[in-house]
Amino acid sequence: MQSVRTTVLPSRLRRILLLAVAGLGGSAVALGTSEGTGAGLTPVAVVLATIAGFSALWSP
Amino acid sequence: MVGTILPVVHGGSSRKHLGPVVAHAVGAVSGGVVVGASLSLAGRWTQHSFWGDGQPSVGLPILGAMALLFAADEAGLLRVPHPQLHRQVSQRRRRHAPPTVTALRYGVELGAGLTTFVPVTTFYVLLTAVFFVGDPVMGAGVMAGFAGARAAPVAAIAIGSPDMATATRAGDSLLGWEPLVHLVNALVLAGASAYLLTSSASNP
Repeated sequence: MQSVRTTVLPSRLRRILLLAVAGLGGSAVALGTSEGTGAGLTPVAVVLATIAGFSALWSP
Repeated sequence: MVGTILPVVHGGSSRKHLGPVVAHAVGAVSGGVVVGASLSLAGRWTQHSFWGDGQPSVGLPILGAMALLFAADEAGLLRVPHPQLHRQVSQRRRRHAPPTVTALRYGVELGAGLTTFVPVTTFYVLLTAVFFVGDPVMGAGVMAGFAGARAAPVAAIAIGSPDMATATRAGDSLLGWEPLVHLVNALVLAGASAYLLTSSASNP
């Protein structure tokens, strides 16, 4: 039987910090673009579709 | 999923499995297009009924809050309910139908994403985003992208593997990365949440 290498997650505090950094990045992108409401939703949906699609590979 | 779908799309020799691989991809994109267009149409109708033509940007704060909640869930910081149906293509149908037809059915169900396991909560935020986009063509395109991203790795493993054992090994080697996949989803959701909430505050 083949052994599977499992990745180890950072600690709870580091995960919170990583989320905060990602949030700051998201805010910076929003402030750096002068798009209207409709144009703002679609790029987010495209990013979410791509990541959700690839992640589905890990579905049971 | 890889363990179930690979035997369906991988027929043994490189020539044999091209048909099921293409059928799976076509089915997936079709399923995604139908769900995306329907959901966006429903979103357009709902938003028009409630707010008329001069609709406020209600989708941005709702999506932003939802993405923040699910980011915490994906990071393992809190638990949020994951409503989902666990139905798959039935064993009986799988056994009796030709491989291409089975691959097509799998593709449709996986591309639509509504009747199968939901491995990451990003999918719920995606469906809500497609609803609020309110444009059937755009919604269909976004969900076709989801279906394509879902089908592409399976197709790549199936085409790139000379035999089923190699394909299974490639699929198994992905399993160890699951915790990292959830963390990446958490970071994407956190970024999306901040983007949406900031946009909402700047466009009241």
